[in-house]
Formats: sequence, structure tokens, C-alpha cells
Amino acid sequence: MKVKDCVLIEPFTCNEDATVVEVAKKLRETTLRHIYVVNKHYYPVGIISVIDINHRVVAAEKNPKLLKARDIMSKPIDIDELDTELEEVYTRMATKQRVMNAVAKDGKMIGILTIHQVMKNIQVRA
Amino acid sequence: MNRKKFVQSSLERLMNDSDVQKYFSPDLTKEEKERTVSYLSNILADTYDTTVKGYFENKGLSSYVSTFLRWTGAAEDAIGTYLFWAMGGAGFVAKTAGVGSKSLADYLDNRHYEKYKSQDAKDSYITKDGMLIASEGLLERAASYDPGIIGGIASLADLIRGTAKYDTKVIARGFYDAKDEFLKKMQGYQAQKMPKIIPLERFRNSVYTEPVTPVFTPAEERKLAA
Repeated sequence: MKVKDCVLIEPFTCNEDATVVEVAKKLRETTLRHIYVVNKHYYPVGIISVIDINHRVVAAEKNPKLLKARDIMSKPIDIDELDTELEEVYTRMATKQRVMNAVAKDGKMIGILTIHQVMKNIQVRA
Repeated sequence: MNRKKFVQSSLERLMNDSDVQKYFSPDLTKEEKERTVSYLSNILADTYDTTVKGYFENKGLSSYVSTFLRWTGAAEDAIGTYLFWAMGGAGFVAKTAGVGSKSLADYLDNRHYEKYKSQDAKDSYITKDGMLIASEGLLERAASYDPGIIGGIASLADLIRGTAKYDTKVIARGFYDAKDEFLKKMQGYQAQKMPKIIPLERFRNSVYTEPVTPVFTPAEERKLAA
């Protein structure tokens, strides 16, 4: 089974230059707890969670209007291709304790792969 | 060569081809594998109709004439060898007649080949020009002038390869056309296979999502439309 056999979530992204306030507003509009940061080529370069905003901005008493997404994002991130084997993805996710990975094709982000989908598809095969 | 024989022999070769084997991964279920094999067979059958059939089914009289000329050429070669040892120079006259017969046979086969060869075949895979195939026999023909063992072997090789060298090229052309078509179709199929994407709308947080306020009320829209 490969990544392309899974169901992905439409990319939920923000620009590297977006302020933390803009990122927070985007996050509150969805039930997702993570947002991917993409560069000008729409390639994922980092990820921000709601916890990151709390820990790296609020708790650190920084100004969310001045801070940019690139300043608080977690990086590097794991990016999978459509032909990546799911066993490989699962091993990486489990080792690094990731719950989701970005999926890219031709240098652009095309979706989000959750660990739930990975496990479900590996289980189907087993 | 008929369609059934072409499909069977080519299918076996294609299944062992490293490029084609990529599409028969162990992950495939039995049904998927059968479906792919059947697809490959259909492509081979179609290729037979477009590339191979015309050549083999329209050989007609020229094929018999060419075979006759090749045997005549071989006989003239043998006579030439005998005459060389018996009478010296006269042997070369007979051998030249043999070369002439075989060249005429090549001309007939070449004409038929050129008429029916597929025009859209991949140049990189096979020899495109019929004259180039005909020239493959030049060395054998030159060697057949030798009145010794070398000449005998060359003459025999020329006779065996004869028309078969054109047949082989046509079959090879069909084979590579089918392979090319299969790879192209499979690559296209795999490129199209994209994962399903759940829209972000499904994850919308209704508490913080502002409802879209319509510019006009339904009554106003009806009024404007009227």
C-alpha cells in the first residue's frame, strides 16, 4: 500500500509571512489543531499547532501581531510522496511521534496524511 | 505468423521484461494480475492487427518467388564451388549468378516489407529502413565467393536467414510497439490515480465561522431578476 491509496485531507496552510494572529484566526475556523506553513511555491516548510501558539507566543509574552508563522513553526517536517510505502511512513511517524504528514506532488503540497489513515490502510492489508 | 501465436509468444516475453514486470508487483491481488495480463494480451492482439498482420497475410506470390530464388541462389553457390574446383574461374560466374538470385529475392522481400511496415514504430527500438536489413546479408554474400568451408557456411546462413530476417524485424516491431503502448497506458493510469481528498469544509468550526451574509434577500433577488 502506498500513500496514494489513502484518503487525504485538503491542505490546510498559511504563508510563511502570515502573522501569528492570522494563523490563530485560521486555526479557530476549523476543528484541525495543526496548520502547515508553505513557502511561495506552496511547498510545506513547517507546521504550527495550537499548542505552539500557546507555548511559543503567549507563554513567552511575545507580540502575536509582529511574529510571523516562520518564527514559531516546527521544522523540519516529514513530507511524503504519493508513491511512498505506508510501512515506511508508519515507521517514521511512530518514531518521531507525528500524527500527520504533509503529502506533496511535483513540488506542491496536495494534502495531509493522518496516522489514522496510515494505520487503517496497513491494517486492511494485514 | 498468426495472431494467436504472436500473442502467446510475445506475452511470455513481455511478462519477463523488466519494464513490464514493474506493473506486476507482489501487492497485486490474483484478480488484478489476471486483469493486467488480459489487458496486455488485448494490446498485443491490437498491435498484431496494426503492425504485423498486413505483412504476414499479404505475402502472396512474391514470397514463393523469393523462396525459390533463395534456393536457386544456394544451388548456384554449390555449383559454383564445384565448378571452381573442377574448372577454376567458371565457378565464380555461377557464384555471381547465385548472389544475383539472392539479391533479387532480397529486393522482393524488401519491397513487401517496406509496403507493410508500421510507420509509427519506435525508431530507437528497431531498424527502420528495409534496405538496412537487406544489407545485413552483404557480408554473407561476399563470403559465399569463398570456395571453401567459409563460403559454404555463408551460403547456408544466407539461405536460413533469408526471408526470416524481415519476419523477425516485423515481429520485433510488433513486440516493441505493444510494449510501448502498454507502458504508456499504465503510466497514464498510475498518473491519474490520485488519492481521495476530504475538503476542509468538513472540518469547519461552526462556532467561529461567520455565516455569509447575502447581499440581497430572496425577495429582492426575485425582484431584480424579473
